[in-house]
Amino acid sequence: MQIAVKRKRGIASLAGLVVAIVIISIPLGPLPPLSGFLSPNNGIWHAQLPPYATGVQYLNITQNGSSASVVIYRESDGFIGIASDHNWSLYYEQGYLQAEYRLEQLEFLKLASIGDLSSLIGSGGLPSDNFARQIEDLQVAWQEYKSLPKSSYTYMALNEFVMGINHYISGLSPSNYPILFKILSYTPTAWNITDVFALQQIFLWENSAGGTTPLNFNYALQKMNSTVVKAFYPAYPAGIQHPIVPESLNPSVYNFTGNIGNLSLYSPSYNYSSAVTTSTLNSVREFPGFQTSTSGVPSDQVLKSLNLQNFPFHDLGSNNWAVNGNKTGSSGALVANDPHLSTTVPSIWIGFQLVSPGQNVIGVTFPGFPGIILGHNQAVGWGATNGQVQQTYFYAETANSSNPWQYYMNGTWHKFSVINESVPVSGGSPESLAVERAANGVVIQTSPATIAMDWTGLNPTDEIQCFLNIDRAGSVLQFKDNISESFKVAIQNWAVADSHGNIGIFPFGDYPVIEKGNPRGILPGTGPYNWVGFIPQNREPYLYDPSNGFVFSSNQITVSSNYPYYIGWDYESGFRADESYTVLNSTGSYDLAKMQEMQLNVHDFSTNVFLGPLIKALQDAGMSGTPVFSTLSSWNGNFTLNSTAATFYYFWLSQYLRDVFGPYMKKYGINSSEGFNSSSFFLGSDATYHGPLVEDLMNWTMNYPGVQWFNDPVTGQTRNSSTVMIQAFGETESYLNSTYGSISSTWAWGNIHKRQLTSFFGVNSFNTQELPSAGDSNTLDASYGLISSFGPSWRQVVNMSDPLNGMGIYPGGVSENPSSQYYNNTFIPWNNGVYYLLIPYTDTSLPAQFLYMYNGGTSP
Amino acid sequence: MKVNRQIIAILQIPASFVLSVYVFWIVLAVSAGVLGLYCGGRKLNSLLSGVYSAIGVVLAVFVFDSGNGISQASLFSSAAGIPGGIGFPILLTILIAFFLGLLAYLLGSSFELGGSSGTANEKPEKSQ
Repeated sequence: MQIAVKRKRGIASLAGLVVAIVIISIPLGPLPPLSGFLSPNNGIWHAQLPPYATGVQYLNITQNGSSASVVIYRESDGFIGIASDHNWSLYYEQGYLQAEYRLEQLEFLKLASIGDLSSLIGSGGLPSDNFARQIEDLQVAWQEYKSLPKSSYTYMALNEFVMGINHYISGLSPSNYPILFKILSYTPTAWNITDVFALQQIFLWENSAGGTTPLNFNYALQKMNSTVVKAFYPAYPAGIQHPIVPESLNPSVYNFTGNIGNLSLYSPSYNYSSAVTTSTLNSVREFPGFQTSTSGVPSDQVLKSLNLQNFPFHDLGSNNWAVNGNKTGSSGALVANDPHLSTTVPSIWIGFQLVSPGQNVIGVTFPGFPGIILGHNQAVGWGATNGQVQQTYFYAETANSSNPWQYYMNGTWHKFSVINESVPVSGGSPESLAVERAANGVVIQTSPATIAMDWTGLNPTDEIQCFLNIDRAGSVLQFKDNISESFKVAIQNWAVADSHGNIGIFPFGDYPVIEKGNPRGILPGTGPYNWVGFIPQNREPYLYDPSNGFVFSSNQITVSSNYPYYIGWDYESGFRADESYTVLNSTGSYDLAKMQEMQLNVHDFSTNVFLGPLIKALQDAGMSGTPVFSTLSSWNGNFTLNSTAATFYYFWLSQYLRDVFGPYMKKYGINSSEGFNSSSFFLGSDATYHGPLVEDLMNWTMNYPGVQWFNDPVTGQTRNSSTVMIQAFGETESYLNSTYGSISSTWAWGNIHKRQLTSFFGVNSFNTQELPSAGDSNTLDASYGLISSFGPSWRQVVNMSDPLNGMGIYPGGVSENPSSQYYNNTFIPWNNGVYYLLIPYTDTSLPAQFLYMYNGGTSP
Repeated sequence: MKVNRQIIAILQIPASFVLSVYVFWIVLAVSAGVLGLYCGGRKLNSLLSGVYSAIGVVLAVFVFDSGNGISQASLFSSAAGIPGGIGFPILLTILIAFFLGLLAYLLGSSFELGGSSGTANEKPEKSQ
């Protein structure tokens, strides 16, 4: 057979074919290689995504010659029940199911924790990776792993948990990878126990209070007149305060000599005009995560460089309380909790009921964690809020000018320990990073000054052990011991109730102690200002069965003003705490319905403070004849959907704050790059946090309406609270008229204020719809910002006399797949205040194993 | 030549389909090249090869889809901010299959068995 070659045609077509194949085999901008991506048998066109069918499934798991029975009960409300006759198989299955329904989330979290996010999303992940490596996440995680006894329950649980994840991953063909892995050409990798500890480290960082506050405060000390600093940033919050552990309810923890008398809380311990720069502030802002604000345009931002802004675990506020005795009218105790975190899809939580020999616990956990973090078992119910305790201290190191790898401490030069890191970057060259550590922290800035940050999380701890232990706690006191033993970092206010009618609240953990200096700002790194230890456990604040019959927390100040130790100073504004205290103190007969009602309370306590003076000022100024005045004067302070007064008040309070403090920011040259308008410390947005300034305003408006701080320092205009309130009133009215027209139903709060679940991965098109929403950032049912994606990420109410009827809900659903019906199916019910029965015992198809340790239950 | 065109249709559609489902869709270029080698011809046959390749691939996309593939493609468009649901990814898929089928056929047909210089109804090309 002869073959004749038509050379020109052959060469041309060969060249065309080669070019075509090359083009489809390489990434094109944000697009992955199209040959694989569009492949009908393993690209986006082919996928067997994990099915989620509600109901019962029976399994047998064999491992190393041992066999275990597992029963799975998938619910439609975001919860999966797992019951097993062995503990190992329980955690194995929990790992497997987390991977099955949240693999993308697990992998993103793992990469962020170990500082490898850039290997997935490109250079956009570098800020996150650099910071994770600077705080030595992986190194600390490794130490935690090494110190974990192989015979421990925690080791067994973690080992089985990662085996479950790995079993799922190993059985997954590329064709069945989730959509983001296909877009990013990512292959999931096996997990190990260290990865879980690394994730624990990030969780602890994100929930550690303090953050950059010392940097902000140092900045204020340098820029502002000291009299102004004292007035604006008091060491103990101004205005109405209801401490979590007031001296009157537990004087025993006040009867010591602490360190606060030796500290200087208004003077800078370290003066260096350039020490705090914008870059310092930016370098240690919130740990970057996967949230994005980019629009849904096709861009590198969305597909390859997910814009990193907020880590979704970041705690913005939370509520919990427990009642007993005279508040219940019975011998029982109840507990409620709603942690305010990012409300994302998929949710930052996933719900499980875990049943195995000796335990039957239900609640929520973060993907990547075994066990339950917040929930209840048959004997104890619990919830947490951020303790707001300062656990980050900053030090200015004296670096050796002739040897940059040395620092001066306690009279001699020491070498920084240095870890040379190489951060892999998808689509680019690896980035080199030298991580330096001094005896008093990790270096976060080397120029113009060397600044180190000490954080309680830089030492190995084992909070996961704590979670696994509290899941099995049998009483409030046992719970207290568990927290005391192993929850050290990211101090939380743990509110607890048990089936014996006891309650308590335990803000336990590592409270750093220094002997001198000003911990509110940057400290000299020369040695005498280093931590000398932590507050002894028997001096840490707590309440157990207090005489008033309730404990509560909403991120307000922990202790009374005469607590002998310095523990921090930057707390939430206290309006939610004020509301909780008012309601709990004045009412009784608490049952589940009343607990729910309180959790869904949308009364803004700040109106109790500001509304009266505003109305009086308007009357005195002869401005009482307007429709807005009528609306405000008849308003009860509830941020309901139809309220037009709520809309006006919301904008007015913001304007009032701005009118009082804005001129000072201008005078002292604090602009947006230093945090003005973005950091709560310097008058940030409502969505961010409520810093100390609103508390000052509350205090002055109530008690000192003529105080000099109402004067305008720029124009020299003499003012008082009334004149500024009226000024803000006029400005607000003009703004609303120009934006929404004259007052009408278009001003209704529900038209302006919405909730939305935003994509965990920052893909805007995966966000949910926006729903009209009641409440604001000061209400117990909190929603921060006008389009809110922060709020009650989990609601639980339990009567521990009848825990089987415990109720709860988290927004979102089990699945991370946007095309699944279980992606966001609980969003609308959650927004409407619906609660689900956590253990669906009324469902006759529920296997009796899930009622283990309750009446009618059988052993798993 | 009609016979060749029918052969191209009869062979390339199922080949493209089977290769896409069980092997790797880019391999459809091999079957198109072989067809080009045996069936010869140029413009129209090449175009038909491209069209039949695309038909085979589209069939592979839709016949065995359980709904997940379509939804994933739609999610991709959504994530990329491209309107039209699966329109953009399916268009890309079709175009790639078409050009691979076309170019591979052209390449194959440039090696003519038995030294023949083209099909009966096409103008013979000059030998180089």
